[in-house]
Amino acid sequence: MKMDKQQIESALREIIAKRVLGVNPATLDPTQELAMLGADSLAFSWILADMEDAFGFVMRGSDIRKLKTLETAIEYVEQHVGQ
Amino acid sequence: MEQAWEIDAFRPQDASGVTDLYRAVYGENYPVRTVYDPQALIRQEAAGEAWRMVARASDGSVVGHVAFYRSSPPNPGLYEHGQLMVRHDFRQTDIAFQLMEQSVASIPRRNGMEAIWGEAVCNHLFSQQMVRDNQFIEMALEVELMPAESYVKALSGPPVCKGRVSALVVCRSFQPRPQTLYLPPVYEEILRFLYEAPEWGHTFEVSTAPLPAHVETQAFLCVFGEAGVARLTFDRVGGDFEGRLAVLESEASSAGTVIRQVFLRLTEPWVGTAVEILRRCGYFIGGALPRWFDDDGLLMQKTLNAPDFEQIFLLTKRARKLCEMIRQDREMVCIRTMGDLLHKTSQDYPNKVALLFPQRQLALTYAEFQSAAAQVAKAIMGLGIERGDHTAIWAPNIPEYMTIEFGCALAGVPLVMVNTNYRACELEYVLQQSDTRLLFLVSGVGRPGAYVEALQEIKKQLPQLQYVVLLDETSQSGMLSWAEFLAGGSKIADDSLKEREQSVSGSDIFTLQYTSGTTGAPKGAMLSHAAYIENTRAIAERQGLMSEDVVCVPLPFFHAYGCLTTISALIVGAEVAVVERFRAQEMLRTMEMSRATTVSGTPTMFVAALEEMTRRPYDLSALRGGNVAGAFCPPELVRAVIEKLGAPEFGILYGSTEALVSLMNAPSDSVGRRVGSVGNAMPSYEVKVIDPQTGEIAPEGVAGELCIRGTSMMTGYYKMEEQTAKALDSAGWLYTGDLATLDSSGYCAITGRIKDLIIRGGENIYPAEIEAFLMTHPKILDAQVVGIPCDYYGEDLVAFVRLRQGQSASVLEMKRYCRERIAINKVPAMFFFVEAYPLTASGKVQKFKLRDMAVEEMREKQ
Repeated sequence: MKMDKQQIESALREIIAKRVLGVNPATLDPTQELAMLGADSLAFSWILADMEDAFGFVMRGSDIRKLKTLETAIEYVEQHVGQ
Repeated sequence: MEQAWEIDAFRPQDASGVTDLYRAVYGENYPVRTVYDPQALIRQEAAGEAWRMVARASDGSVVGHVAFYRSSPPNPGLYEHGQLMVRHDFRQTDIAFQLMEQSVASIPRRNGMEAIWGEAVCNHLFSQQMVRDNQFIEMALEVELMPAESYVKALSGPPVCKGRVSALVVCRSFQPRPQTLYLPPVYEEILRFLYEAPEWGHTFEVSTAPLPAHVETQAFLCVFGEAGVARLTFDRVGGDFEGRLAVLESEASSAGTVIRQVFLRLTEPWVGTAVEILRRCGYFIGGALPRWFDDDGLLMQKTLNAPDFEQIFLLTKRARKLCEMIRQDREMVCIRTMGDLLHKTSQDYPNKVALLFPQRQLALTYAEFQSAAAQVAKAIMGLGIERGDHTAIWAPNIPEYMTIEFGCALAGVPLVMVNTNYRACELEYVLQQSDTRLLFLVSGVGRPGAYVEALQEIKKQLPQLQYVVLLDETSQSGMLSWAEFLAGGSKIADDSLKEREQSVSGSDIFTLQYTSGTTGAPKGAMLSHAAYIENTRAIAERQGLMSEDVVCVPLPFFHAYGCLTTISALIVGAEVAVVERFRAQEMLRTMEMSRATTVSGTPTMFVAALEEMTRRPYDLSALRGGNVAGAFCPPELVRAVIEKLGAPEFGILYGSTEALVSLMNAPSDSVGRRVGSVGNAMPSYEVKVIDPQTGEIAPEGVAGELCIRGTSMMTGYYKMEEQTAKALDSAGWLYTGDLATLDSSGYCAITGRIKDLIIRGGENIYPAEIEAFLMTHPKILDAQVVGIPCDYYGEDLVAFVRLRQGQSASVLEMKRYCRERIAINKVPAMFFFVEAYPLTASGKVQKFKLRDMAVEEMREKQ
């Protein structure tokens, strides 16, 4: 699946906003830690699941460590899907 | 406000039967509720509120135990609390009674056996300060109760036949206490009779004041005799006691006996009659019921020793049948060793096929089987192997296996059943640890010569191993051929063998079965003749096995499950159709050729069989049931076996090497129960589910560690006292390591292994639950779920999946399927699609290997 960075970021903003209560996709700070925004382990499980569906690759529980912020999540997806 | 009384019952049929009975007799609003609580006694024991006495036979084996426990009274005002419960079926109870009776022989017999026993137990309890003075002890025999509608019918319907009253028994043995009883005067006479026997020396007062509103007084009359005597009316009071008896169709009880205890609320004329009968008998009778019948079905006059009690009669032809059953039951009691079993079955079914080996076109009748086993026993003796010496066998399911197994039993030589998957080092360990003097082996399984080579490799390290017998045609130096071995028995006289056989007792060890050893060195569980006899008899009874059955055994003989399945068939004179080495095709062909009526195997065996059946049809029209066990069995698989193999009575059982088969479904259980649970406790077993952290009994329906206690358990691990103490606590509980729930009816569902439990993000996840769910996917044949380390969740789930033939699937597809249907935290992080799982010889999936494989694969994918 080929996606550019903007597409990835946009998809991730939507996913995070959908799974973390009170997050506005438009104003989400890319460097803000998702955990600080209220993402708990269950929310991360869903984020991971949504990311699998959106980007088409398999993720594991330990991959959550790489999803600290929107920024790191983008990097992680870029590595896996290429541009 | 009206007070409600709750009675604990240990069996579901008692619970519903008692409640319904009370309501039928006293009305719907009678404030009593009987609750089946299989753990009530255990809970009370833990709280120091109940005590147990164990009856042992002279050989030390446990034949029954009696517990004193508190219970809320079913009859407030008459007694406070406390009940003495015989915890075993009639046959065991019979022995327990005999033993108790022997131990208290010095007590005057005037009040009959039950009173004597009751007195002895009471005295014991008092002397141990276990019972306070003001407690009332009630003796209750564990009996089958008829369904409520039967009682109602009995109490209100017309009598269906006439006959004389065979015996009237007041089945309660009162240990009275000086007190005021609120009783209508009509009861005074009978109570004086019961209470004021000189040797009891008690007095009581009867208050004629109006009864408190909640007090109902009753006496229980028992009519023992025919198959379910229930309605009792008297034409006249006194006189000849001509009576009319309504005989109800009896149910087969778990104990195999149909004697019933019937509770009737007495009305005045009946009490008068009862007292009169008791007077004429001069006895207050109670005790172990089967002994009251002689072979002709007569109430045993000798026992009664009442010359004027002549109205002993045979009511119906059915009574003869009943007595025949009781006689057989009593004979079964006499079977304490495998040798006894062999003699009885060869006597009863000499020309019937015992063992069928379709691949060899070989059938052994019971008489031939006994003769062959006796020949082996003599040959063993011919080598100078003494009773108690250890012998081992390393072979697949060949005909000689069974003759060696029973030959060893006759000679009193415990048999070490060696896993056919072992390699040289494992064989060395087991032979050395077990002090084996004689080994039987085939040259190899899979590759000819493999076993012989393995043995030669380690022979020097086994100085105690004196003899090796090769079961193949080939000969090897330093080993006896089968023919040479058998020839050595010719010098042993029949009398010598007989003498040896008679020296073997039920508590002697029959087999040493080594556990798989995944958590350390394999441990040799010592299982006695009595344990095997008791357990296999119970299996046969619960499964409804009869001599007409053909039992297909694809399980390896060396495994406890295979061994139990085979012997449970032999104990009833059924035919065993043997699959020598499991392959689905061979199993199905054996079932087809032998017209098997039941089959027992592991889940993986049935998965393979179902797959094979999609390739070609097999005629399994004779099949009615069987069992699956040995590993967690998903409900979908049981349903598939019931439907596709056409085995409507198929169910799950639960067992272990250490405790044999301890829970099992019966064919009469609903399909839902047979699919979703491993059944309830076998007779003479108790189960409890505890919180593994606290050791407290877990609330109903909450998963915890399954613990088992019973009389058919291992004696211990051979030469491993420390490990034995770890496995069995001082109260005799075996901690199984399995996670389970118990429902309100005592049915148990296994939810996983404690060590398989996956804790993902702090949530307990049971792989078995996920596996069962995955099998609902139309593409999935079966699945295994394991936990792997995860640096975020602590552990994560990985699924290994076998797809149905011709199917393909992607990991994401599987994950999506799960996400839509189960909690997100239960969705496996990864799916691996495999052709087969690593298995043990007995067909169990080796999860630790899957775990290692998953860790390795995931590492590579990093």
